[in-house]
Amino acid sequence: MNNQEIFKKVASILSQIIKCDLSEINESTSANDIDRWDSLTHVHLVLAVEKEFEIRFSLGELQDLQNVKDMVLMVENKKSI
Amino acid sequence: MNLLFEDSRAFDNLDKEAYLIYLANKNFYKLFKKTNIDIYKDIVSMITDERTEMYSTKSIFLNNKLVGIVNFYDAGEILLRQMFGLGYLMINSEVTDKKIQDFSANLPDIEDESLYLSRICIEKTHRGMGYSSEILKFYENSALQKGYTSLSLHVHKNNKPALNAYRKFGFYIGTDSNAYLKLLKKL
Repeated sequence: MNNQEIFKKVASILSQIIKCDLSEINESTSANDIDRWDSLTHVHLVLAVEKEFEIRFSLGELQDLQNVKDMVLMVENKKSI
Repeated sequence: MNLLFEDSRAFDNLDKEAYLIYLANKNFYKLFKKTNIDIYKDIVSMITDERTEMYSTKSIFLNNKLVGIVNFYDAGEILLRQMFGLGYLMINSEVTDKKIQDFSANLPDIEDESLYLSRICIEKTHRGMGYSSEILKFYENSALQKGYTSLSLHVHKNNKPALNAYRKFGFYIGTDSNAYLKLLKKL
């Protein structure tokens, strides 16, 4: 699965969780851009992404997930191992 | 009475443990539009995820029969653990109550550096037999072994039987600011 495919899936999951249009999400979208993206939404997103890609983020890694791009890169790294 | 306490996550078949956890939180789980089967699956996932509060669930056995569960962890971890548990329930679910969305802003007052008792659930046919004091003793011993100097928990103001049992065991009211009382016991 390449970077773009992972981005599409992550963006789709995020748009469903925060109930926004897919076109509103790009790689630099972060919690600062979206009011509904609070800490609970973040955990919800993390768990939904983990389930979709069958991966697990460590607590240390979670702190490094600042925007959509960070999440896509981390999924890519985990899937390539 | 000889109760045995085992880590719930150690079991291959978690159905019974998941059912007791379900019973202990039934009203809360009703806030999610999910079938009971899906809730059980979420609970099993939670028990095996070290980031959730369910990870620290212990199963209580009497003569090889599961009679209850108890759950406790460091009070400083309450926010993270409860949020991760909630995250599992929110996947593939429409939340039916606004209070879930307000959850992160409304967590109860936390007593730092104490061992926090999250829940006890005794199977129906084994209630009223004095197990709670033995369970609280196990909880107290665990706290002492881990070097804690106090125990903490929350109990609903209207839950008089539980409140009486905790007070009898030496807990006192720390904070009385909302529907839930914060109870403390110094060790």
